[in-house]
Amino acid sequence: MVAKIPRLAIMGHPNAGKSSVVATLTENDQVAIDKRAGTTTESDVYPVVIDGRTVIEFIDTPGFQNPNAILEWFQANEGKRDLARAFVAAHRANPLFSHDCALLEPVAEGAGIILVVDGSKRIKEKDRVEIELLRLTARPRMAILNNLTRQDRYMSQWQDALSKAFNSVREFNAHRATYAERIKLLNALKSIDQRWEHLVEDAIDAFTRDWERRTDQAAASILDLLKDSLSYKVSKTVKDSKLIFKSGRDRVKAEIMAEFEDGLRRLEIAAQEQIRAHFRHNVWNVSSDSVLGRDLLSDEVGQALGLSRRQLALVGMAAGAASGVTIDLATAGHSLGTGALIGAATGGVLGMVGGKALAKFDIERAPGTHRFTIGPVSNPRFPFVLFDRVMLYSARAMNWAHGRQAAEEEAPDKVPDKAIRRQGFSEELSGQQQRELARFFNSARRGREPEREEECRAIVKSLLRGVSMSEIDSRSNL
Amino acid sequence: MDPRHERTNPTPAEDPPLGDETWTVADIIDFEYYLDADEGKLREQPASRKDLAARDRAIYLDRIEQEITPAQPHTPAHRRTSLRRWLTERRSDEDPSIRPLLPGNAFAAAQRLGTFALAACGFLLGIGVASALLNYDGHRPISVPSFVFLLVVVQFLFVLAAVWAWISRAVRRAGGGGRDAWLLTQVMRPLLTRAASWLQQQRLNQSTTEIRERALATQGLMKSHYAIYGPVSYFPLLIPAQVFGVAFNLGVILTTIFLEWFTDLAFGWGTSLIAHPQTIYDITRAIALPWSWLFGEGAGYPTLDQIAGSRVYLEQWAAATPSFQPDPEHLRSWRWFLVLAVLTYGLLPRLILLGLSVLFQRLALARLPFTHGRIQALYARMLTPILDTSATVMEKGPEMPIPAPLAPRGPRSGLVGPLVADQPVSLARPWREKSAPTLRKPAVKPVPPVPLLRPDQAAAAPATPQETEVEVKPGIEPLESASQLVQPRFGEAKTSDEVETATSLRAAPPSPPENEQEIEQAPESKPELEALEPERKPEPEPETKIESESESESEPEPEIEPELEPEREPEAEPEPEPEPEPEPEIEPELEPEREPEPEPEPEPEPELHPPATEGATRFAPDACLLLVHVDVDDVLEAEDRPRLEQLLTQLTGWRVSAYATFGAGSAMTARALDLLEHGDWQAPPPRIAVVQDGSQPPITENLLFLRELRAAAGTQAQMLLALVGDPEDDDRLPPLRAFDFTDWQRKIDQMADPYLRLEMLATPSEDGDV
Repeated sequence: MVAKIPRLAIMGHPNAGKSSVVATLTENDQVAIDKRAGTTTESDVYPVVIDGRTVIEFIDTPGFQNPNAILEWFQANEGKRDLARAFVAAHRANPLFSHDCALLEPVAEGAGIILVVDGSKRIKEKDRVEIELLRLTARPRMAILNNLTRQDRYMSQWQDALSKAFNSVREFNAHRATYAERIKLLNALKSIDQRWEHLVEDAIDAFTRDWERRTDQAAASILDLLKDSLSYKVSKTVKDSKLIFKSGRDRVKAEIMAEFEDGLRRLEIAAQEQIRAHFRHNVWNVSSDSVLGRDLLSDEVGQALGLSRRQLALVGMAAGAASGVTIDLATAGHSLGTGALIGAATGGVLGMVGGKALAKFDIERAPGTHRFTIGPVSNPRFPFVLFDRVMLYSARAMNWAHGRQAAEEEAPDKVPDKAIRRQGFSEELSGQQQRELARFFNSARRGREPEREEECRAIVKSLLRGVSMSEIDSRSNL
Repeated sequence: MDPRHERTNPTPAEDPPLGDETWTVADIIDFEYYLDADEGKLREQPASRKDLAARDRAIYLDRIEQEITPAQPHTPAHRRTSLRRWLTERRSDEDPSIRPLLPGNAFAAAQRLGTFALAACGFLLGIGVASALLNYDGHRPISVPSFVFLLVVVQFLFVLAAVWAWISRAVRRAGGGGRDAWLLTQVMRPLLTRAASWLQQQRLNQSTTEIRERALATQGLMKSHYAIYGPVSYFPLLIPAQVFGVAFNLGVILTTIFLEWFTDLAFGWGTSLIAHPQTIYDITRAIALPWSWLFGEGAGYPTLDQIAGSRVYLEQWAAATPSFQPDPEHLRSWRWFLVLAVLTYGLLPRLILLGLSVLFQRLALARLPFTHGRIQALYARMLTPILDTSATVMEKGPEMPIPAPLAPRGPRSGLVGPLVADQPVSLARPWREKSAPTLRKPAVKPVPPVPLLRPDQAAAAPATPQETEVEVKPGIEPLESASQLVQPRFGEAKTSDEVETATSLRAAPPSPPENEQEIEQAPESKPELEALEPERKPEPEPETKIESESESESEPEPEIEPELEPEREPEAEPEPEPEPEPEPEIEPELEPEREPEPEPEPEPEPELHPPATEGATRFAPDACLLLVHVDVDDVLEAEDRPRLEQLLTQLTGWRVSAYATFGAGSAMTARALDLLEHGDWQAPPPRIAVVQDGSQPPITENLLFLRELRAAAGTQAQMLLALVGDPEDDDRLPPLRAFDFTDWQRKIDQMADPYLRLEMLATPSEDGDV
């Protein structure tokens, strides 16, 4: 039984990105990856365990240290039946070959081979040597062209060179690979040895279902965030004696407003943490130049995400939102269209909807005290901004390859960011879907058991699914 | 009593083990309780998701999956069964002390208690009502109409109302649903809930606070799930109501029978209306219709005479009591009619309703889809395989091995590879042959001027170039010449020599006349080489010129060419030659490497030295041996070579006397080493410049090569390792990125070779940002 488990040794020379490939394939960002060469110093086994049963083992091997020597030895001993095993047996004691033995050992024990090469570089001597010597091992083998850059002029050369010696050659960017690409790569494993088909399929099935479950969980987290933050309230009781002067009143207002905003931010961060955990990221965090790195309630975020004013007005009317909101929007549209004064004056999210405050203040008077309450959010645009942001975060988390920890983001040739599209997710939804969302937001805001929750869940899930299958642009630039 | 409860009463541990997938209301309540607990846990600590997933998957795999094999996942049957089993497992995992406190149990107990209480009330009420109605003081007979009206007609109307409500509710629900407005629900639900909480409270008072809190937190669950379990929710109330009705009727019937048996009762009827006994008789018969087939006239219901005889006239009693003696039989004739009427119109419908309630409850439970959100999550957890990709313990293995210094002048330890001496090896590197033509053709073309130069050089510079060429070329001729140099020593090699000569001859045709010279030289080698030596000496001068004039390439200045040509020619020549028989040619080279180790080296030197000094490359005091890695060499264009030398001169001040490649096998290495060892070094410690592709991280092989050079050149030989970045279109010798450089530096430092210097060939500033 043990022998039948597909074992795949990920091989290549140092720094070809072997560890990144393993990390991305197994979604394990704890794999030690270092830009420096030779980080992997012995063969680490990364099993894929389904319900306690190992179905595939990926073995992250050290890089070749003496490819020429190995090839020559292989060529000199071509008569031997199992070259890898013979080589390991012959050189185990030689410290100079410790890495080479470590990396050939799994092969000697029958592992299949995944050769990882850097497709952005031209084919060098040792690449040829490695291709040749792996061919001589006569194991089932597959090559991965790990191209982290947009340099693709050598790719066809690589394809030619590799396809002569390998059962299957696939391009795979270990730093940009999405879920869909991972599954495709796993599918390709089936083709290199038919006997593995069954187990590989099991693994793919497990990965797929695991992914679905995570998508569901993410959708639940997203809806929870929306519900929680839309019904979020802060209130504070203050004694009359502190409110004698207007300044005191203003101060209390400012305090409570700040508390309210912080509360919203905290809710968002908590949801992001959850989503991060769903997608098994331990080390990843968003880069600071993203919209996600900006403050939730800032100007930029408000402009980049959410619905356009026109859409918002339509949605508001159609969804029968609080009539006040609708009227505000309608008039705000006009006044802004002509003068654009108010928006500029108030700025940010607030400005985008013509001075409509984020949330309403409410002051209750009781004998001797005032009770200030702020919330729930009444700004009609905010839910969409929040929705877009959390969707964006999810999309990022889903598509962030686990092997990317060592990515050289400043590398000149890295795969380029796509043309910038200043648009969130919600803007591209159909009007019907936007209305569903708006209804959901409205009911959540009133603290009722939200209507349309299932419809919204479906919308969220379909978005997430689209993102993970690369059908929907994940807006990696935002 | 409700048969359903008979089965749930036993403690959960005794739940039917297998094959029983029935759900009870208590089960549902417990189920929701567990779901709620899980959800709360998740909300508090999202990290626990993994634990839950592991737990549920384990339950599913260990105790559910095998037992429900026929059912396919995601079918309703599978879902019901696995969820039910899951509940069983969760309950049995519970601490025995809290098990009876589970809300489902509490509810079941409350319901049981409530049902008992209702039954008792009903029974007592029945007794009370019946005995009140049957109160016979001996004067006035018991009024049959009032008994019938109260206990039969009114009861029956109640039943009809209940049935009507039931049906209308069902119709409404089918027609789109609406709130359940049933009186019973409104009245009884709070009662039952309160009873349940009271009961729980009673028990909780005796338990620890922790358990109490946990149990209290579960209250109110039922209410919140009304929407989900709506269809099921009213049965727990309906059934006790029916039990009440049954008990009431039983009370009435038993009391009636009891009184009839043990007391003498007189029944009569009267009316103020003008009623003929026949009318009464007809009504009575109609009422008695259901049982008249069993108990006929006279037994099941009174005859016309008896009815007429049991009529009570008020004036009779007032005036003529003593005289009027009605037939006592007539007065008693109603007794069984009354009992049967209550039985038929009171007890029986209630029993039927009770049965239907139980039946419908079961159906409703069986029809629950179990698809709401929280269940979906649980079901998914059970079905989704747990995927674990965490690695085994990662231990740090040894760092990249740094080769130890090799013994100088000692046997070359297999050069790069662990070569086994005796076996002839075919070192097939087909790509070398193929790549050579494509890459080098451009380089070759510029060469044409060479012929002109050749004559001069052939005598002068070429001599060195030839050797260098020989070595340079991984391909062939260089090898041959080198091998020839070496081979004479080995007897074995001669055959291969011949082969080589043959190959070289074949190769010759493509190459211009110059080549022929070379070819000839090659076979003859030594004499010619010697002859050439004197001519070579002039070279140094041209080289110096070259340095200065490096920009202008080969043609204008013959002097440059000597250096350039060697490089090119080697390249040019290899093209034709490799094709014929690359392998045989290579073999000879390998042999030298293997065998030489033990024997040849001592020999070669003595033997070779004479020729070497004369015929080998001569290195002027400021000249060096330039070794270029094939990866770099492959991409160099003709115009890059002067630049390479210029860069080298900038770094070291050395000129290049000989050029060789390395990095494609031990044969090539052997040639390079040969060139080094047999070179005629005018200012003894040899000077070696190694150009290496620094964009690839250093590997043992690279370091080993440096060690070998060191061993061959002596401990004090000056060695420069110049690193080149990844070649680009416009710059084949770009500077290295700082990161890659430090990577190399770290490794080179570990070699602890004081005479080895590491540099970037081109410095970044020089070339700008490239």
